[in-house]
Amino acid sequence: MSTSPTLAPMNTQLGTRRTTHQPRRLLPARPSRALDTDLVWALGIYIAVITGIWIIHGGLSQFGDGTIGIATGVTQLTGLYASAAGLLGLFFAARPRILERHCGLDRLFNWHRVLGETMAVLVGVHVAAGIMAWQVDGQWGAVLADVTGRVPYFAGATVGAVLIGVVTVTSLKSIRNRLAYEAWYFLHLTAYLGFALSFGHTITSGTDFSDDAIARWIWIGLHVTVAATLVWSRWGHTMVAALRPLRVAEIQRVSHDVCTVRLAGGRLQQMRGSAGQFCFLRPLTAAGWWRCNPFSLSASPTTEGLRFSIKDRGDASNYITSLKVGTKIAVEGPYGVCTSDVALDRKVMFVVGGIGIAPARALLEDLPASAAPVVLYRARSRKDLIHYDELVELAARTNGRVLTLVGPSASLAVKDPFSASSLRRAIPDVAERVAILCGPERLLQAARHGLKRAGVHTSDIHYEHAWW
Amino acid sequence: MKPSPSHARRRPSLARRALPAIALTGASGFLLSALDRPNNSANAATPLGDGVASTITVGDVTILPAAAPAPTPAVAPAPTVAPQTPETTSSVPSTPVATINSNSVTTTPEPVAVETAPTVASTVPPAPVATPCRTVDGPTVNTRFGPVQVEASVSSSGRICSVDAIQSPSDRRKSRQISQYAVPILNGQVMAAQSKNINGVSGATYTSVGYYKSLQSILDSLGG
Repeated sequence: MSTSPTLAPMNTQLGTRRTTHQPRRLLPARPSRALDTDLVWALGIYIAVITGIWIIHGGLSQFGDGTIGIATGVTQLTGLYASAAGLLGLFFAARPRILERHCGLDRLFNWHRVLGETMAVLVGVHVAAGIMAWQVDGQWGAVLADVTGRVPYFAGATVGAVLIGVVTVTSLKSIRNRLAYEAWYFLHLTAYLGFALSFGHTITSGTDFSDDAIARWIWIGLHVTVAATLVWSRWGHTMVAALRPLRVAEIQRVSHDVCTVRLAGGRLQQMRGSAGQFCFLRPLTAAGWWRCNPFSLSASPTTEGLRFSIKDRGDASNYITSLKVGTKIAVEGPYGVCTSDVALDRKVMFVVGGIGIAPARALLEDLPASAAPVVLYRARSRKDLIHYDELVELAARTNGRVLTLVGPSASLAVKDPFSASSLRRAIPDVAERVAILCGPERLLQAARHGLKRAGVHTSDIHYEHAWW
Repeated sequence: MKPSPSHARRRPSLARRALPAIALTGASGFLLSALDRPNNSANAATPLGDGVASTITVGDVTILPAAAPAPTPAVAPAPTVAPQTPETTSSVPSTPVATINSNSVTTTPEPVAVETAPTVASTVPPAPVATPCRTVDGPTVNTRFGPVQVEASVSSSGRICSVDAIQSPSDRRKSRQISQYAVPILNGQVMAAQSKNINGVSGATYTSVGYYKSLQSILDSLGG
C-alpha cells in the first residue's frame, strides 16, 4: 500500500504480491455493461407491452361508453400500471448487479421509493374507479360487499391494498423518522405479502388476462422474473454473506465517539470492492442477526481486511463497536459507484462533514497523483476531526491538502462557508475540479448549491443520495 | 472520555422491533378470512372471475339481491299453480332459442316454461291459465362485449309470460360464462317484477343494461 497509489500499476504488481502472501487490494467491482440507452429501451418496451396488452383488449374503446366505460378503463389502466410500478420497484429493491453497478444503490433505492409512492397513488385511483365501474345505480353497500370479498380473489386484493397503504404511509419521512429502523423495515416487508395477495385478482378479473393466454403468460412471466431476481440477487447474496462471514479482527476507538472496525476472513480473497463504497453489516450474534446496517469503508479494501469507521449514532452502531474480536459478521456488498473512477484523470476536491470522512479517507488512498486533492473538512469541534493525521499524510502523497472548518455554524467567520465566493477563495481552481461530497444532507445541499454557483458542472459533483 | 451512551439505553429486542409487522400480518390474515366470502353458490360449476355477486338496480325499483334468500312471499304465488320446474342454467343459450324464429310473433298457451336460475325459481309469479301470450323479439342492443337481444311473451293483459335473451355476449370464454350466469337471473328478475324495473346483475353490468334496454323497447311497443 505504500507504493504508488494509482490503480493501473496495482494490477501489474498483483502477481508478485500474491506469491509473497502480501495483502493486496481487492479487485474493483466489475463495471456494469448496461448503458443508459439500454435501460431507457428496456423501460420503454416494458411500458409498451403493458399498455399494448390493455389496448389490444379494447382498453381505449371503452372510453366512449359513458361513465361506466370510463371508470372501467381507468380501473384497468391504473391496476396494470400499479402492478407494473410495484414490480419494477421490487426489482430495484432486489439490487440486481447490472443496475447497482450502473447507477448505485442509493439511486436504486430512491427509484424504489418513487415507484412505491406511484404505485400507492395508482392503487388508490384503481380502487375508487373500480367501485365506480362496479356500481350501476348507487347501491354502494352491495358494491362494497362485492369488491371487498364476495368476488373470488377480491378479499386478497382488498387486504393487499390496505397493506400497501400501510407500508407507504409508514415510509413517509415524517412517520418513518419516529420508528426504529428495524420496526420500519419489518413493516416494509409486509409489502411482499400485499403484492402476493393482490396477484390473484389481476388474473381472474378484468378482460386483459382472463381470456388471452399469451397476455396471461407475459404477465405471469414478469412476476416470476422479479421473484427470481429477489431470490437470487437479494436473498441469495444475504445467504452467501451469512454462510461465509468475516470476523471482527480489530476494534479501535479513534475519538470520543468513533471506532474503527476491521473485518477479516478468507472470503476477502474472492471479494471485489473499492474505496468509496459501503457494505451492509449484520453481526451474527443472538442479539444482532436481525439487524443489518450500511457502513462506509474508511480504507481501501485489501485481503487483509475491510476497515469501517463507525460513529456511535444509535443502537446498531453502538452494538457493532461493542462486539468482541472474533465475532462473525455477514457482509453484503460492497455497493456504491462513488469510487475513484469518477475522478477520471482530473483534479479532485472533497467536501466532507462529520463521519462522511470515512469514504473520503478511503478514496484518498486510491487517487492518482494527478488528482491533487483538496479536502474541505467540516466538523463541529476539534475532537470531532477524525483520521486527521492520516488525511494529511495521504493528501501530501498526492500533492493535495486538507482544509478544516471547525466550530458550530453560528461561530464561523463567514456566514455560508460553502458559498461560491468562499469556495473560490479556498480553492482557486474549483471550477476545474471533480467534486466528491460526503456528509449529512444539509451539508450536501449547501455544498451542491455553492459548487454550482462556483462553476462546477452538475455532472462533476458526485455524492451518495440520502435514501432515508 | 465520556461514558458511552449505549449503556444508558435499553437494548432493543427483536420481539419489540418485529411486533408492528407481526400485528399487521395478523390483522391482514384476520381481515382476509373475514372478507373472503366468494359467492360460489350460483356458479360452482363454472367459476367466474368477474361479478358473481349481488344484484344492482337497473330500473327504478329496488329488489332484494338475488343472491339473498328468495323473497317468495312478496310475490304471493297462486296456490293452485306449482312453480315450473327450473331448467338448468346450461340450457340458457348464448345462441338463439332454436324453436322460435327471430322477428316472428307466435302465440303459445300458458303456462310457459320459464327458464330461471335455481336461486330465483321460487319467485315465479301466479299464472292464470289459458290467456294467450304474444312472443315479441326486442331490438338488438350492442354493448361493449357484444349484442344483447331479449325475447318476451306478453299476454294481452300486460302480464309477462316468459322472457329470455336470445342473444347475449358470447365472443369470449369469459363473456359466455357471464352470460350463462347472468341471463337466468335477469329472466327471473323480470318474471318476479313483471316489469322492466329490475335489478341488474353485478359484474354483468353491460349485459344487464343491454337486456334492460331491449326489454324496455318490447314493453313500450306493446304498451303503446
